[in-house]
This record gives sequence, C-alpha cells and structure tokens, in this order.
Amino acid sequence: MSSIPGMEPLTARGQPPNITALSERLCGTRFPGGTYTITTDIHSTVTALVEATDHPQTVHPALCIVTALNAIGLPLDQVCLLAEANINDGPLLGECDIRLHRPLQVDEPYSVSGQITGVTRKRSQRLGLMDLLAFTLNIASSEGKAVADVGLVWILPRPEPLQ
Amino acid sequence: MIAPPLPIVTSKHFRVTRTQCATWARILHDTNPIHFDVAAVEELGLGTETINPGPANLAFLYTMLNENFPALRVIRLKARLTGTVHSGDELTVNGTVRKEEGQHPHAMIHLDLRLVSTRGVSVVAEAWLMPPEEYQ
Repeated sequence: MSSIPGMEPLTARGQPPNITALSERLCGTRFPGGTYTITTDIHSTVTALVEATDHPQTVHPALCIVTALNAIGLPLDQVCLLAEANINDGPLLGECDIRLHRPLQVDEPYSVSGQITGVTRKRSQRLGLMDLLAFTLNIASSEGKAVADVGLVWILPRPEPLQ
Repeated sequence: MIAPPLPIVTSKHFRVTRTQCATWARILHDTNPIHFDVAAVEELGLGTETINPGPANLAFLYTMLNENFPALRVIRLKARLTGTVHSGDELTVNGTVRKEEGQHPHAMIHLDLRLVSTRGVSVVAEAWLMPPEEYQ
C-alpha cells in the first residue's frame, strides 16, 4: 500500500480522537485559501473524462469543485491531518451542496476562501465508525463577485475505540 | 386546466477506468491512494478496484444535465454519495423532473437524479436549473 512518507494509517493505532474536543477545536477554522485558474488544458481533460462537449466558452460546472478543492490553501492530506485523520485511511466525499451564481470562465483567476463548519461522529453498516467533516468553500471572481458556494461533507474512517 | 407534461429526461451511460480515477486524483491534487493503488483499496477492505473520486461522480451528473437541458444552467446541485464507484463500473445517470416553472425550453426546473452503478445506487441528488438570462 502506498503511503505518504511519515504518515502511517491511523487505523493501525486503534484510537479515534475525542469528537467533542475535535469539534470544538475545528468548527469555525478558516482555511488559508488561494487562487486557481481553469486552463484550457484542464478544461479539455475534464470534459474528456466526463464525455462532455469541450466548449471553453461554457465551462463544465464540475470545474467548480476542481477550483474549490485546488485553492483551499491546503492539500487534502493536510485537511485530513487538521481533523486528526490520515488520507491513507481512505476518506470519501459523502455529501455536497454546490450553488453556482455565475458561469465559470477559462483563464480567469478565482479566489477561494472557506471554513470548517462541523465535525460529527456516526456509525455506518458499510464503513463502520466515521467522522463527518463539513466545510464550505466560497469562490469569487477577481472583482470580488460571488461565483459559487461549495459545501462538502467528507467521510473520515475511524478505528473502533480500544476496550 | 390540465398541466402540460413534464420534460422527459434521457439517461446517460458512462464507464469508469483506472486511468480516469488516477487522472481525476491528479487534477484534484488528491493523494488518497484508493484512487490509484489497488493494493490500498484491498487493504482497506473497500474492494478490488480503484475508487473514482467523489467529485468525478458528480461531474457525470452535470454532463447528463447539460445534454438534456442545453438551454439551461445548473445553479444548484445537492447530492449524497451513497456508494463508491470503482474502475470497471458501468454507470447510468437517471433523472426525473419534479417541478417545472415557465415555458420549456426556458423554464426553471427542479429534478431528482440518481447515479446507479453495477453495485447499486452511488449518488442520490437534486438539481435546480435556470435560463442563463435569469442566472447571470
């Protein structure tokens, strides 16, 4: 199994973090944010992946998620670490609520800001114990106009507590 | 007065490959090994094929909507990802119009969507579409 050097799967250690403390620590935490530009190459690659027509003047809406996740200001493995989770444990996207206020454009720089809005624990029959890490990412144009709001809930697998 | 029939939504089919899973992971800068390393998927007990990143599954919904309603723009997509999609899976995106306001093809539309793989339902979603002149 490939892993990031220095990061071993937390499931091997067998103790989930205290959910109350984790929630209190993380809720309201703002991401560093950043900027992202949808290039014609990225647009062509994504439209080919999803068998859409490649018209750079009408950007495929899926690029909204690509823009948001690429400009959090932290890579996804670091977002997981904030929540005391390890990307090698196989986190999954669980929910989304994406609102587009205006069309995205190719070769336009977009700024992204966002924050963690919640962390809750639940158990699923399929995945076992898990934490749900919720955050919102707001995409704005270079003139500061709201372009999209992306709400995501990430499923972080947790080990069963040691008895 | 009898209401006009709601638009019929044409399903769209896709097939996921290992290359697609890995390419999406690269585009998203997602280093989660389940997207490109079969051994990682097996070790985590999640199957025997790489897993398509969640945003990639949502992208299939957008493509289906764009093909069915080229005159409209998707202004909101709300989804629950209820199952994983793996390389080798064949997918179908189905949709049903829940409500239409205004005159087709420039109506505002609210739909229910499902992305179904050979393993079962992978995404359950709602989408809202509007004419571009209302949207911009």
